[in-house]
Amino acid sequence: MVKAGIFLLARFFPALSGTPEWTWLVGGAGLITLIIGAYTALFKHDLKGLLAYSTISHLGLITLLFGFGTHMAAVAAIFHIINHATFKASLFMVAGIIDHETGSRDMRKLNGLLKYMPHTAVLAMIAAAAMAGVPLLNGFLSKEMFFEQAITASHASTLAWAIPLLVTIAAIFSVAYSLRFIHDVFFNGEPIDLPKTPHEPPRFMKVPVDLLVFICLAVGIVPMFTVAPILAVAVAGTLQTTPPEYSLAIWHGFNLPLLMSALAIGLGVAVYLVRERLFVWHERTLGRLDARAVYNALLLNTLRFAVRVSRGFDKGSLQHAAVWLIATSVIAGVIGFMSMPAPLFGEREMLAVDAVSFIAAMALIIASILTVVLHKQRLVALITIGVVGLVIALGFVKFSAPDLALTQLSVEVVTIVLLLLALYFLPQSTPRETCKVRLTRDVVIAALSGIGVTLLTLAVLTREFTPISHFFIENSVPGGGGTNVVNVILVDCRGFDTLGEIVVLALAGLGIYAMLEGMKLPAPTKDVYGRVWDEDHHPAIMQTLTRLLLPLMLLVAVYIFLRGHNLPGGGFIAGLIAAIALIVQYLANGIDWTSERLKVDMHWSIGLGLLIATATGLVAIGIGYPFLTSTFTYLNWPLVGKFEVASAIAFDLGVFLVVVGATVMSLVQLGRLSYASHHPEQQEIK
Amino acid sequence: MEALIALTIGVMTATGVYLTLRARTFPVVLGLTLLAYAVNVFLFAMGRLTIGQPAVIDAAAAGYTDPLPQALVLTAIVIAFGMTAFLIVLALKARGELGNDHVDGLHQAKDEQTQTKSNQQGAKS
Repeated sequence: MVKAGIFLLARFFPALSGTPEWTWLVGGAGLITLIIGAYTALFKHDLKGLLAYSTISHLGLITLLFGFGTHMAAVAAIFHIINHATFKASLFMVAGIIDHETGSRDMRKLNGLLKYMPHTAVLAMIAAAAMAGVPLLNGFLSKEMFFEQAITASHASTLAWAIPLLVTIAAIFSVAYSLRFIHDVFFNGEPIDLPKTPHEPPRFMKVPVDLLVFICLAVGIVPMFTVAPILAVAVAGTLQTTPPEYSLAIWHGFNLPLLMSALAIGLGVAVYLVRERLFVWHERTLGRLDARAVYNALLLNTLRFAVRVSRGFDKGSLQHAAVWLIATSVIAGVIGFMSMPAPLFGEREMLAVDAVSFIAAMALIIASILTVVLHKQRLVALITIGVVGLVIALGFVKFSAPDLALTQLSVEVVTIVLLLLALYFLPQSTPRETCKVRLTRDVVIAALSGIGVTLLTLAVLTREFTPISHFFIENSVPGGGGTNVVNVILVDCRGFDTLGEIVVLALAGLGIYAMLEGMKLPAPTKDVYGRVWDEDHHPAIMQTLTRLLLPLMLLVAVYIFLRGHNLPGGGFIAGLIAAIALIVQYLANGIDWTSERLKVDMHWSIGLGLLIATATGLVAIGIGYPFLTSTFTYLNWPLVGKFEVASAIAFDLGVFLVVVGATVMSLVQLGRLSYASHHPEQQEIK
Repeated sequence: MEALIALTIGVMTATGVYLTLRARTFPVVLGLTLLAYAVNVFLFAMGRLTIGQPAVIDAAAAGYTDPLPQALVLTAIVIAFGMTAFLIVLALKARGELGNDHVDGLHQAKDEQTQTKSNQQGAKS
């Protein structure tokens, strides 16, 4: 478990190592862990505590090696992983044996166990010596490699000379605590006040330790015949390239690493000899430091800071959040403009302005501004925004987009009716805002957004471009069987997209239904100026006319639908027209009258539409083509003449049904709300 | 002409953003509607402006406008309607549950004053 992180480091080593960030973060963490672990281990009186901090220290050592980032360092790290595993496992087992046989792990009580359990004592001594880095044991080999790498790393910068010094200090403590593990437990007088009389453990508790200690010795004495093949495999696996040349020899001559080892052993023994005084000093000073408290406080403060930052951005207010969102996008846009090397505007030739377009554009601009100025009078704002939508529809007519014009026009009608119905239940006017700072800020953000979007649009429109639409224009008739390219794109080329969009529309319709189901709002009896609403809900002239017009309107819808593949029209537009035709009936004749005659539940329309659209796609899969592949053929009908039939029209029928269903359902549900609010005694109207 | 279109998109964006930042649900819905118009026209204009060349295949046609942005905008218009409808009903629901139409569900924001009679008359005149 403890080496899981090390494993991850080793796996990431080929991809991430070699950068300064890696060296500083990984190496730094390793060095700090190495020193703190080695220092703390010496002052632990619990056997397992000592070993645990020693493990921390050795993990730091391995991390530091990976942090160096060189291939040789990685070899040393992997070698030390293997060695540490063998000697530390045996030491933990020894600690377990001692605990089991004496009933204590406290080194202040455990003394002179050599004569009670000589076999275990020998095993512990060898393993601890390996941990200390005594020659002829495996720990010595990888520690020498580690020292060598530390010296190599010391050439990196002017401050790096401290690395060999610091690792030597850590090694001194490592020797000292290893020595303590042996001397304090197996020598140093007689046991004090142990719960059990110590004796050798049963045979099978010793066998695993025997094996591991044997490996420590074997690797330490004849590395080439023992660990070399395993190490080669592990190194190749970690580095993912040709491993560097490395030597596992025990004797490299008199060199700096050997000197460091000697220093560590010599000074480590010295430190151990003065341990009593060190313990006293440690108890008075560093021992009082409660690392857990520091850690908890750090964690708590980090969390508090995070909470404060998020509170600063999210005050539980939509207005506040919207300001952040829009202001950020404005700033991002400004940065985008600033970093654009090319001139803002291109060289493309512009179209000439004609008087009609100019007047229409001015009407749109004035209506937009009026919407803002008069937004406190909600009904007026609704009318002006309707003007904006209608001018946009005219614009689509002007700029060769008849499909868009038809869609915009019908959507506009439905939207305004919907907003009117909803406005009935909302306050008729908006309270006046008094905070000048907020209003100024919003005006500035709005103005910047407007200017930014204008410049962006101009920057694009003044440049030449190469559209990818040739494909659609060329393949519309031969591939899709329709001359209206926009409709062919919708129902054929990008049919899957359209399927997603009608699903969204269906969900919006169902969501509206669910939200309004059973809801009752207080209906106002007077308008904003105190005038009473007209009692005549269904004027006779309107009733008669709309009833006469219904077949005609539906006929138009069918016509628009059928011609959609070849001329402006299609499922979306036809659906909206049919929806308007039905909504007009509800408006003119009331919900009761219309529901009695139109016994179609709009849920069915939505469901059937989605089913048909999806089925069109599935049929294609069924006969071995990709989802939503369409086909078409030409039929010769008497009287009508040559007539094209495309399978995409089935898909378009699905679109039509979903649009009709979702639109009518939303508006009728809103109308029901008003009915329920006026007739509180009648709970449910079917 | 391009400059004129760019200007209209800019004005719709600015007015839309201003209304979107208001504190009451109805102006916010109006603001989002205006923003949706701006985005739709912007997307449409990305195919460049062409007069009198609809993308309906015809042997006599001199050329065709870019149909792709049109297809994208067509569905965008319908989706924008769905979104507006959902939002306004959400606003109704909020009014029903919370008893007011503030976007944060507050009865009265600090920086607002109720429309008094004098204010109304001021608005009328």
